[in-house]
Amino acid sequence: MKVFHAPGSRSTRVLWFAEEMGLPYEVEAGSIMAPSPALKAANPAVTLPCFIDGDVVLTESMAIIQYLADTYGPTPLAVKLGDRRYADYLQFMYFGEASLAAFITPLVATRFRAPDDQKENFTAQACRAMFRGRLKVIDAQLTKHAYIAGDDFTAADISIAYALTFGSNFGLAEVFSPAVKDYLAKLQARPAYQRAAEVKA
Amino acid sequence: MIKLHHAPHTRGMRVIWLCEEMGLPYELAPVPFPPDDKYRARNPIGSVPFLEDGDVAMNESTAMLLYVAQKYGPTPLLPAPTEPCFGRVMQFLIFGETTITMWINVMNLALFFAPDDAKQNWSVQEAARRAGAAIDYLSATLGESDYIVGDRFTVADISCSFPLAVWRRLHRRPLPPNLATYMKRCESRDAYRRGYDKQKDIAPATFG
Repeated sequence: MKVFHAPGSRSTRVLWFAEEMGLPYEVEAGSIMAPSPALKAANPAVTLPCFIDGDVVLTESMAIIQYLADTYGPTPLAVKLGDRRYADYLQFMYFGEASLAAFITPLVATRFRAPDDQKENFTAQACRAMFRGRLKVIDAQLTKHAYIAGDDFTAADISIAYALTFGSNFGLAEVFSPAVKDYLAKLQARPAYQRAAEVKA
Repeated sequence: MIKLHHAPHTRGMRVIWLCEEMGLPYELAPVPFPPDDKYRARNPIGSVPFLEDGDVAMNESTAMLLYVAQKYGPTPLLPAPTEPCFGRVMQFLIFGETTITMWINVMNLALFFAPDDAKQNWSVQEAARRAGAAIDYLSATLGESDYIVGDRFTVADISCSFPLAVWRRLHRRPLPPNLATYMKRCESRDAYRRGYDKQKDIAPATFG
């Protein structure tokens, strides 16, 4: 399998999960601003990650994780139907992208590419406020369990941890509660995360 | 039984549609707008939809689709991991929420909440461009097929048709011709019509 990757992008989730599962993978540098012909051919939308495994081409990080778990598992990192944690697992797997990271991407686009007098516009402020509001759900969950879907680490933690890391890279760590900060530090200390974060594409 | 806290024109329609396709019973509960303390005690972010099923509580609509399809399945709307189309269904189930809706969210926030002089700020224009590019990508990948995986209707179609409806009806923007036809095909399904009629009068229309 091959992953088009850039450090800090959502492809980090895929590398992290593959590292946790001990799966071999090949990395190719992926640039959104200056995409290679290979990336454009594989993913006309030019987003990262782009994942290729035989005939399968996937560009959604959470879909790739699910695909890897179902194709190369079983793995305790993917909670199965019938487990009492199953609903929480699904909920937070998606929440990390749709309800957290989704507010950071427009903020980053505005920060880097908008004209100077637009960098703190209504949208930037609204995205920051929405992200902060959504963190209440994470706080509530962390009062119940050590990890987001229960007492053990799962792929849902990878989804959430990426969104929190992405946010903290762009100045949002200041709105994290102590519980969220501790949770993120614990996840970032995992050897599999460290290995994934060190991959230079 | 599944209890869905819902308001018309929200992502709750995805879950209603799936339940109707699967022939599952479900209860609809209107959500006060703005959400009151009682609702927030159960769903701290006050978002819509919100699903309760016994001890289960969820507020991500695409996660609800997977939960319902697996818990109450099997259903042809969600292929098994061993089927060749599994990867593509997962991809577009998620794409429909994250890559398309992420940008439409930005447009919605401005439309509903921004002061007049910020409604078309740089970020909103950028969001419209990025959402449009994601929709064009969906159009290209659909081609002349009836549904995202050929002639088989799946949860990926339920997921992707939500942002397409918002793009067209709320933001009054055109869809590529093949997606306009695709939307007609999806929304003329009996299950969609039944679900739409059951939910349309339960509460004042809200978006988000």
